[in-house]
Amino acid sequence: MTDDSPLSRRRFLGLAAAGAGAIALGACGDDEGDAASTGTSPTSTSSGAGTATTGARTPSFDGVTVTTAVYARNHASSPLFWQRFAPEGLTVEVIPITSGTEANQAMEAGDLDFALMGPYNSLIEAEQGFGSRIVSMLSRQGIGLIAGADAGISSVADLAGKRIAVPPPGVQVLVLTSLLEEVGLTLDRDVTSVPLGYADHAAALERGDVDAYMGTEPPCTTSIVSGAGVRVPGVYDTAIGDFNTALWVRPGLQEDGDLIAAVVAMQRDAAELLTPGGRNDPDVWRQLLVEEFEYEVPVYEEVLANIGAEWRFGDDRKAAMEAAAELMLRSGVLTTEPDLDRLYLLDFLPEE
Amino acid sequence: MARVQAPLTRPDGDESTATLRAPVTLPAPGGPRHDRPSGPTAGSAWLLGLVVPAALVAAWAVASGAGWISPRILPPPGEVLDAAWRFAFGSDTRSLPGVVPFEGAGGRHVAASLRRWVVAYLLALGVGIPLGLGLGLSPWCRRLLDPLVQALRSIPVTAWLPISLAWFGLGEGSARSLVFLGAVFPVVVATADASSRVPATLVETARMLGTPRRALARRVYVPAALPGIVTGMRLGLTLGWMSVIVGELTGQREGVGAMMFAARAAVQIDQILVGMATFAVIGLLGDLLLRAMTRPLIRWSDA
Repeated sequence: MTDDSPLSRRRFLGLAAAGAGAIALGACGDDEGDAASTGTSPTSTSSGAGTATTGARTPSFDGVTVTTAVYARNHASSPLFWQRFAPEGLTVEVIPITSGTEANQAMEAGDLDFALMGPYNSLIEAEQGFGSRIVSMLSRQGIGLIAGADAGISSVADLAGKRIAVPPPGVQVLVLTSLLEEVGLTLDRDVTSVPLGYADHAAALERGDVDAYMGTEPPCTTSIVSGAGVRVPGVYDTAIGDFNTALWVRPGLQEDGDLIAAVVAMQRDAAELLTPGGRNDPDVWRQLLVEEFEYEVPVYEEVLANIGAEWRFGDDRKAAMEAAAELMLRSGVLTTEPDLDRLYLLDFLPEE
Repeated sequence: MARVQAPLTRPDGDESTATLRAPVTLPAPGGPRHDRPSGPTAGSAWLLGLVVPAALVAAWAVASGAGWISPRILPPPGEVLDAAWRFAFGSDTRSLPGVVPFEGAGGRHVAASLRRWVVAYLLALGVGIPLGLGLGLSPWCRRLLDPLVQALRSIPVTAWLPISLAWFGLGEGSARSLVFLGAVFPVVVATADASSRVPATLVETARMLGTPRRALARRVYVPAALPGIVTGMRLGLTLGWMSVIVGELTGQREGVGAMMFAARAAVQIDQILVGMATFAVIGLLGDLLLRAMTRPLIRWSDA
């Protein structure tokens, strides 16, 4: 073989170069359906850095596409309604994502213009020096501490010595840590944690693999409706309150006041459609959860009390962020105190 | 099993310019081609292949009907069939853009997944076969790249996901790069292995018959390695298809995997099972199609 090797070094290098070129070509993909290259050029709308659209001038959004994200078939889906309220010429593209970390990275890379994130990822992002900022709230509630129907757990104190499924770090983990602290328990000392993704919580409880889980909707309500689980009260009684997700804008767009104002207005209108005056409209939620997401009707009926769209970001939300930061500092997740004021870009929130 | 080597001379008998078309082996005259026990006929083989799946479905129906399995963990077969029907033939009445749909969206999801699969797979063939030939035929290339290839192919496709998202962003580039990574290594390894195992006697004979050295790859190595390359292509096809589901974790609204992840988030097990069945059927059909397409290329082989 060595004597008759048909590939000379020159030929081999040629082939290697062709291969590398092909990889690069393929990896780039095409523009069709490519979320990362939808021609988003919202900066073209810049016409007054940091100015809200309160003056007489009407900004033009012709040909502008805004990319944002939701978790697939999740309650925090008000951006799906943005297009209904979009100013003329503005297109909203909503991309399904699977985690706050993904949202972080995608915003930093410019793949997403706006995204939803809870306090945990927000604060991690701040410490890591990512430049995204909060422009409004997006959703409230949406979490649950669910115990097995036969697990003998009716309060947080009953979790001592039990196995509890815990999702990847997020608002649920903050709330659980806080709840346990209040009754003098510590995760992994007094309570055994089982790391498990949200989507697998309901099945794990049903099989009896865990005694309880700290999860999200709709799996929480699925467990209630099936009879496998019961809600443990108190998840919204911590200093974090019912903070679920906020809406963030990526670095690079923060000078585009017209666009931010338009997006915040869309979020306000979408939130007021779903949860007018803070009370859920069952018909609109039914359209979203039953007709679009195909939730079973009993799940929809039950989940309605534990979700809500939101847009206001007042002092109560800032206090929740502070509480989350303190907890993360105490537990060593954060090593430096975050500059919370730097995280907020709330000048564009409409008047109530 | 006795075999004879096919004559290597050209039909015109001019041995000085003879070319070796393929390393042909023929059954010995009068002897059986294979000494394996005779199996079922083609028709009965298909039926036989359905026996175990049918028995499993029957056991599933019985277990569900008797209430031995919670429908939240495994819905009854009827419910899954109903979901499959809705997936394929239901009417998509959704009005909100951005929702990952299920009912009536089967065609769109399958088409999107197939598009990703085919594009990335063709790319994997375009890169994998030349690279495999390089590794198999060039000691220089082997020493330079084999350690890297062996190391990279040990990395699961799921482990590439965060890197792919960071490099290519949310969207089609990430999806295709992941499917490509799933498909390319089996092609590379099988091609390298097959081309490095071409018998020296074939090469010597071809040289003796006047085949120029620069034509050896085209006339001897590639044809002789073709059965092994086709095996790698089949493995790459299947593993590429299996990687589509990982590729569709990259912010896709369309694709069978995208639908399954959306269903998973909402604990819709029947929809997840429909997605799994779709993957199984399309993977099987893809392999059958590839086998049919490549059979003429390796008809001479008993592989």
